[in-house]
Amino acid sequence: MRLIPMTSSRYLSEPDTLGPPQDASTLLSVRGLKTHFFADEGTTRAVDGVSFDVTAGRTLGVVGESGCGKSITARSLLGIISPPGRIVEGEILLRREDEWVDLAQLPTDGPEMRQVRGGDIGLVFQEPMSSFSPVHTIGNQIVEAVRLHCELTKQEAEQRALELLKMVGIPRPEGVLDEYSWQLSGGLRQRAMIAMALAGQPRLLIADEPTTALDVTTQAQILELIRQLKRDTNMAVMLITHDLGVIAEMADEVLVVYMGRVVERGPVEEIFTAPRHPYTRALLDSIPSMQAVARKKLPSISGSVPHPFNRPTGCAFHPRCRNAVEGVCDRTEPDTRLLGPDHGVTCHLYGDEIGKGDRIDLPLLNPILVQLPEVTGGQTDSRDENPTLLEVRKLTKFFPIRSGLLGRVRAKVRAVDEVTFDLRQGETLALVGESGSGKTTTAQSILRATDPDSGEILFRRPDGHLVDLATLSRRQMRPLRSELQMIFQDPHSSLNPRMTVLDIVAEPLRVNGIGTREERVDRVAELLKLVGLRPEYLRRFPHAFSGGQRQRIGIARALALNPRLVVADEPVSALDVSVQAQILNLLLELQDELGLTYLFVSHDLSVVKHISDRIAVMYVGQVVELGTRDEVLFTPKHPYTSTLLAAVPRPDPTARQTFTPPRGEVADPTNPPSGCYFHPRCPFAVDRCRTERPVWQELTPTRRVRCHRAEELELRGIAT
Amino acid sequence: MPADSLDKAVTDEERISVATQRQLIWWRFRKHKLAMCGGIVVLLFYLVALFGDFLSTSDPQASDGQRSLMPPQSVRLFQDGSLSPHVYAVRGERDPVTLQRTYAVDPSQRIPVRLFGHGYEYKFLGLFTTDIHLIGTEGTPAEESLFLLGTDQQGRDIYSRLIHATRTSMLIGLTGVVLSILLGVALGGISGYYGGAVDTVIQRLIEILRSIPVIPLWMGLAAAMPKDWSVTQVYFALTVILSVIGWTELGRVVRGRVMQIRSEDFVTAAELVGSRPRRVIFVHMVPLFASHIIAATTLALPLMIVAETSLSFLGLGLRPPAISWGVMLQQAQNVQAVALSPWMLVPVVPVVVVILAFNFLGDGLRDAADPYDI
Repeated sequence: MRLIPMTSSRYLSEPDTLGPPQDASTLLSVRGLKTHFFADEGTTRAVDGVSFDVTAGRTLGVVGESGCGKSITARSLLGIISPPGRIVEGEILLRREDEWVDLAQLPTDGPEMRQVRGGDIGLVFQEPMSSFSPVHTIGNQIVEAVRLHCELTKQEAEQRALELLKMVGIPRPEGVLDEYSWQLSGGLRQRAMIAMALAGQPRLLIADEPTTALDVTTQAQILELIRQLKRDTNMAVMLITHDLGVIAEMADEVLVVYMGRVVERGPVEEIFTAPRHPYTRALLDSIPSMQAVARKKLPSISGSVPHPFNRPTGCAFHPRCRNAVEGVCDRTEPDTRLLGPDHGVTCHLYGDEIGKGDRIDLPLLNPILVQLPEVTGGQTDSRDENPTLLEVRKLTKFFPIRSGLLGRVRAKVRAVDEVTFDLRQGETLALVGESGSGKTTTAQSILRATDPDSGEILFRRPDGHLVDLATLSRRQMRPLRSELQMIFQDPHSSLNPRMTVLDIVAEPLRVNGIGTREERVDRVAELLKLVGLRPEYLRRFPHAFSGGQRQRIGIARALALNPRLVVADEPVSALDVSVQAQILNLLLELQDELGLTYLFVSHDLSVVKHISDRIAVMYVGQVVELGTRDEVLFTPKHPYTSTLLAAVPRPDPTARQTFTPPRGEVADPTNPPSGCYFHPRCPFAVDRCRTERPVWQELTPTRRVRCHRAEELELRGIAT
Repeated sequence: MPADSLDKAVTDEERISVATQRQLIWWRFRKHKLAMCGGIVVLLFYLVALFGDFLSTSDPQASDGQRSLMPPQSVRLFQDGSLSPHVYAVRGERDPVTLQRTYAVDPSQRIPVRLFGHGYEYKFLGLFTTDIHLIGTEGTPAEESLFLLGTDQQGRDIYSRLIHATRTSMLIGLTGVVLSILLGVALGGISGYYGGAVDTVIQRLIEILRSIPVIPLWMGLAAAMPKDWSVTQVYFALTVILSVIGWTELGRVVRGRVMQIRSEDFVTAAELVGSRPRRVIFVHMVPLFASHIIAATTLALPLMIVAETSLSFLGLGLRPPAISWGVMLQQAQNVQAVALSPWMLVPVVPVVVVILAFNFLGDGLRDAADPYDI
């Protein structure tokens, strides 16, 4: 491999040594950008010397864990850094006809910068809800954006807004013009947001986590839309995401950032097939990919991104790096080396001091491109013989929607609609579905955090007899609380910020009157060790911990009373991919060690695939398919399962999606369609599906499905 | 990074990690200069209230028609080049035409002034009887000779009365606010946690209380107070009346916060491990908005003080012989007082100063109160 010293690279050299880029297709060139935040406590170097080029008609993917400065980079381009942050150094060169404008020098509130925002560069945010004003119609807001950048009359602007909405594939755009953002679903809102970003016909579209808040099927639709817009308008796209699957689907070039610096950049194929930087490799390793083997530990990056105040010396990644060389990586900052025409890496392994990057072996542990495991038919497992711990029978919960003066029930949200499943001791059952499918309500009803309307929740006590949790009063429920515990989704909201770790984890022991104070302290220390935290952290407050560590504290609390059933409600969806792997591994270890039974609620099939024994797929309050993990993933019997599987972006740029994303939106649970709830979106729907409700039929003893055509359809599972 | 500075960074991080909420608030509050000043002023006022008898020179009730409406006196510090504080005696005469009393200084008669002199007897902090005051006179009693801020119509020393009024006015605010907080947190918390019918009843009660025109209500209640009640009883009744109205705002704020926290996962977590509602409210929820309550309190105190002052000024609140800023200002209600004896208006100064100080303090506390970024 050829090592090119850093100064010869046009991307990576000092900004003042070069003129504007020579390449005619380069649209935007960022050189040595530094954006710092100045606070009393210290300076946060959020972006610390980032350089890259954006080319017309290409997609640049920016990837890294949260807190690595991805969004701040994008915001710097548009001059929308909020105080106390500002650009302290670097150039942001934007091509305007034949001249270059340095955006870093423009006053952030001047007319030129306003022309850039929306005119040259469009921005799509993560959270479409807060990106629109709730008091103006979508039409008004898009018309205003159009008229800011084009000299059009009101009628012409309205016409243009209509065209934009059509362009982003919004059905009945005339109606949407007069609606408010809160009347639209998440997917439609994000489409409208993209329409608004396109109002000024930008040459560069910056999409900052555009699909993170969306369901997987909606995500597939939005990604397809961005791809198509890029093709049609030849605009450049800068796609910021933490999801390597999305990068693999979308990007032409990839920028991997860590703690405000680019650690690796290169063409997408090279990044995924031959990553050079240990951080890139570690990120790729920790994806719970669709092909990973069940119940096998995922490789993960140790630790988490440090706080910018505590930036490690030398290479910022060295404390977490498996290949760090003592005396080099912790002392000096690495230079950037070019390993190919467009492939740069900032790592000592490729530098002069060590320079063995091409010799040392950094295996990709995750078998992304490795062959699939053999699919065994009726998988037999010792767990299958275990007695059931939980039998849920026709569980139903409708939320009434009241309106009018007298609070009459106008409609009912069918959150959980006759859900039936069993859970054996020691196994993991995953409840999977898009948002609004009722999976969380199901989990909460089982724990009686919500009171179900009807149905039975039979729970087996240690002495073997079954109690119906659904009929117990709150008081009768209290002695059973210790056997059923919950792990929450949001590690920030699940820990009381005013209590120490000791108080939080000891709380279950305390309210149940277990042990003396000293015994409780010992037990908490033991629990912390169990979940991989240092017992010295006892006196700390939650604010001192990262998301992953907080989630561990939450797990320790759930385990304090030795529960038998643990309900995990999206326990990793709020975490970075590297930390996700750590938590999933921990959950697997704990299950083996303590014989726990998990009910694992998730929207992410790739996570579920890794941890579950059996999978139940939910759609609009109903379980539509239930079977063992391999059955559901490899030979799905319900078209919805197949759709979900196909929509998951795979971290493999050579196998980009060829399927058409599912049509439409998740059905409205207050007014579900006739017949099969899925028929409006189902590619296999026949007349019978529109009129007749499918029954919950048993295919094999382990397999149930709610579909009229289950027997005849051959559906695609995980793409092979 | 050198080893020692690295160590320092680590200990700093550890210090913040284990810091209690109170410490974090204090660290942030200290940076707020104006609020620190406000805090010091408020503290000084409460010290004055605590040591009122020691700080005053004359018995605030001692009156003498011969000395009515005397202008403030100046204390001379030096005599013949040496430090020897003294005041000159004052001789009063009545102008036969205007019938106004005029006062002339008599430089021949010097009355020495000294620190820790003797004066009227009082119980120091309610513990023991003493007659030592911070400033005292020798020879003649202070009541007859020392008038730092002049006298009122009845010839009472305004400086000493002001000190005593500070005690009443500052404490009536405090007791009123404490009562409002207890009512507000309890009723607001119950209203927010249980919701439903309980919530409806409490919220309607708040609306009814707030819809009553305040001044007529106070007039009615003042009229309803038995004439034979002692000053202390009237004082207590006034406190209760003020807080019965005052809790409603805090009650609403607390209800809102409780409803908001109610949906947080850690509340569900506490319920799922079997905590009872009382524990959930008071151990898990109240500490979260304790900081807001503190801030609300510091902003409510000046309102209470102003309310007392205005009520007494209108003659609806405290009545003589009680002394408060309002009572003192009530005596300065006529144009004659303002025109001829402007020193009667001196209680306005502490009212303005203390209210500003409380507002700065409250703002600072509110800014410092949420040290977590959640």
